[in-house]
Amino acid sequence: MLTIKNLHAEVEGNEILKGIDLEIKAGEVHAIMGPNGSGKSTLAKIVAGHPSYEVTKGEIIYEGEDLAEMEPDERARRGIFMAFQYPVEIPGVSNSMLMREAYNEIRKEKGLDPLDPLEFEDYIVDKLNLVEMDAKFLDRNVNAGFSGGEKKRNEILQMAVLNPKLALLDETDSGLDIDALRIVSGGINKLAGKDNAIMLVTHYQRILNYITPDFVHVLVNGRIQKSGGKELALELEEHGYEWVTANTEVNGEAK
Amino acid sequence: MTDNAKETLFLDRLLDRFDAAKSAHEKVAGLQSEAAREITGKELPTTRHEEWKYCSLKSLNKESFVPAASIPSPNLPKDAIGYIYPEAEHHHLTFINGVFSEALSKTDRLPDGVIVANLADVLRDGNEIAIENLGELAKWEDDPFVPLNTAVFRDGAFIYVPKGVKIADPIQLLFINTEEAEQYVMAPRCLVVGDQFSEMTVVEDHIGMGSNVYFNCPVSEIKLAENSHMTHVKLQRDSRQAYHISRLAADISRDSDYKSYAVQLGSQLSRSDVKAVLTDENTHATLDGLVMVNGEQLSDTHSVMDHTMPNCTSHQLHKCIIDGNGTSVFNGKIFVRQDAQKTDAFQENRNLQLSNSGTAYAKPQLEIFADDVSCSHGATIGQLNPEEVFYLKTRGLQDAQTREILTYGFALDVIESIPVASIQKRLSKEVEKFTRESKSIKELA
Ligand SMILES: Nc1ncnc2c1ncn2[C@@H]1O[C@H](COP(=O)(O)OP(=O)(O)OP(=O)(O)O)[C@@H](O)[C@H]1O
Ligand SMILES: [Mg+2]
Repeated sequence: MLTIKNLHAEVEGNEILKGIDLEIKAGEVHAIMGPNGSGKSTLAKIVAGHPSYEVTKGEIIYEGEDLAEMEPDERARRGIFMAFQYPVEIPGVSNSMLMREAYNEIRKEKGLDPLDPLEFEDYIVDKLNLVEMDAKFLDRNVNAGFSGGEKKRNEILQMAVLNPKLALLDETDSGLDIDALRIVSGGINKLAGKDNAIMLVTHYQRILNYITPDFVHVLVNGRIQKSGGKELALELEEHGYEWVTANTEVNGEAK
Repeated sequence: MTDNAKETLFLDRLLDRFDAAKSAHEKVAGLQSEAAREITGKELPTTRHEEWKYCSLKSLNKESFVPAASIPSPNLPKDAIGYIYPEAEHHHLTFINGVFSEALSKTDRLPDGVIVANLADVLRDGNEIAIENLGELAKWEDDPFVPLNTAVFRDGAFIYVPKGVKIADPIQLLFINTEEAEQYVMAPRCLVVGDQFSEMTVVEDHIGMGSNVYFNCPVSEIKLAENSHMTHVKLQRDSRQAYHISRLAADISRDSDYKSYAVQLGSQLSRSDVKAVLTDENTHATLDGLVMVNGEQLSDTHSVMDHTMPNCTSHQLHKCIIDGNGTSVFNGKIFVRQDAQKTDAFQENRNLQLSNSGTAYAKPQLEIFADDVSCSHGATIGQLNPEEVFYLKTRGLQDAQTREILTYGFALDVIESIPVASIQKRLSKEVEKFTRESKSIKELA
């Protein structure tokens, strides 16, 4: 589904990604871990098409197509979704209006008729249940005044509405309380299937107890320093990132 | 136009055309003659004039206009009545090219003693309140446009709300300006007097029907007695080729509250000078604005908030959305006089630039002579927030939708504070129309 080859990227002249290779197939869950500032969010944003980051080398292939020239909205309509680490507040737009417009864009892409507000209301009931979210959040402006946890839950509600092929979840777990983490993870699991893939950025093993990753990658200083199965997350939890860095310093490349 | 006339001064040329237009009331006719004398032989201000620095009247100066009232049968649209807001169904005055239209006006269901009528009639009948207040409020130094209006006005609105009377529904003053082959000028005059403990909402709506050149030069005067409340909404939707130069002055007495929301959308050149004088204690004034300019439009707002007495508050949120080669100018003066202790004045000018070629000039001017006051002012110029744009685009929204949504979000707080639901709806449509006229974000990036 997604193939990233030797991806180098910079922002304002600083190189942040220094050669990432990653292959995500349909049905897989990939966890991305790594220290603060190592480039995890950058990677997710670049796949989603953020214009501030310049890809200087390498390529990103999604469903056989090079994403280089594709606008973020087109990527979204083709099934890429990003749940933000810091969801943005949009004044003046109700949550339901945004989701309806967004969903209708995807329907349009598929040649389906748009849903009117009433039809959309019916459609969204299940999605609200999935993340156990109160319908009152629909009338509020997007993320405006939402608590940290509410914002994260709202991201997954949007994911449920849009039903993406590839979901990039950037620290969806941080900010969620224990119950919310269980509920939201349960929602994500229901959305995952053999035709979808998930790239999950996290700092903690906790969420991986609910969402079992097929692969865990450790991103350090713009490179994937180590990849492994779900046990890798446990090892990291125990030893910290220094253990990865120490391990890889043998070949003398990493700093 | 003869070659001879071309050489004469713009104001003289205009006055010349209006010879016959004098009020039937003797005192008012006197005022009119005096105003005419005041501008006879005067030139229009140039950009060398500090207050006109960014607002060139060069093109206006070259135009010629006939008095709008002299157009025998204006091209009145069939659906003119559709411009009446449902909330104002029972009290509205309509003016066609500045001329009062009895047929399109309605003033039933007004409480006893309330007057909502054509100013020309009221003055002719010698209404003392009108005669006493006319010309007493709109005073600017060194300004030709109030005298021009005074010299030539005939029709307009007079609103009087007596002591203790509260009118919940808005009173609409609808100015329909038609599409004509001839270029015309009009100078409608409005006078609003709210007596003690009165309450009202007035909507002044100027709408151009075509894309023709005309010159709209309205003056409004507002006088509020103690404990009165007025909300004043002005919508300027004149033709995109029109000139709109307006003056608004309000005197606000003790324990009173005046809220003005001015929305400027139309005209190639719109210049509006507004002045609120807080004449006594515990007074509040709001002068909020929303401006949208694109193409070659210029919209210039000069405001004066004059705090003369203690314990008063004022609020000014002036938002401008600039696209294409549009220009917005905001010059906001706040005076806090020596006696005006405990003044709390807020002023903010925010400009949203949707294109690289638009221009915004912001000049807050605070002159504070009292020592115990709280005054804040700020001016910002910015583009759409790229993180917000990115967020919406990752949801699959296209450039145009993204731009529309975020622009609406920018304008929203001004729109939402206008307490008439159908105007809010109208304005959200106007924002939509405005952003659709725009180029896509991508093209501009
Ligand atoms: N727009 C930007 N301008 C300058 N530096 C940036 C920008 N965006 C990211 N960076 C830098 O790139 C590096 C990687 O940032 P990124 O947000 O990808 O880290 P992260 O791995 O997601 O960290 P965290 O775990 O704290 O979320 C950081 O050093 C950050 O400061
Ligand atoms: Mg991050």
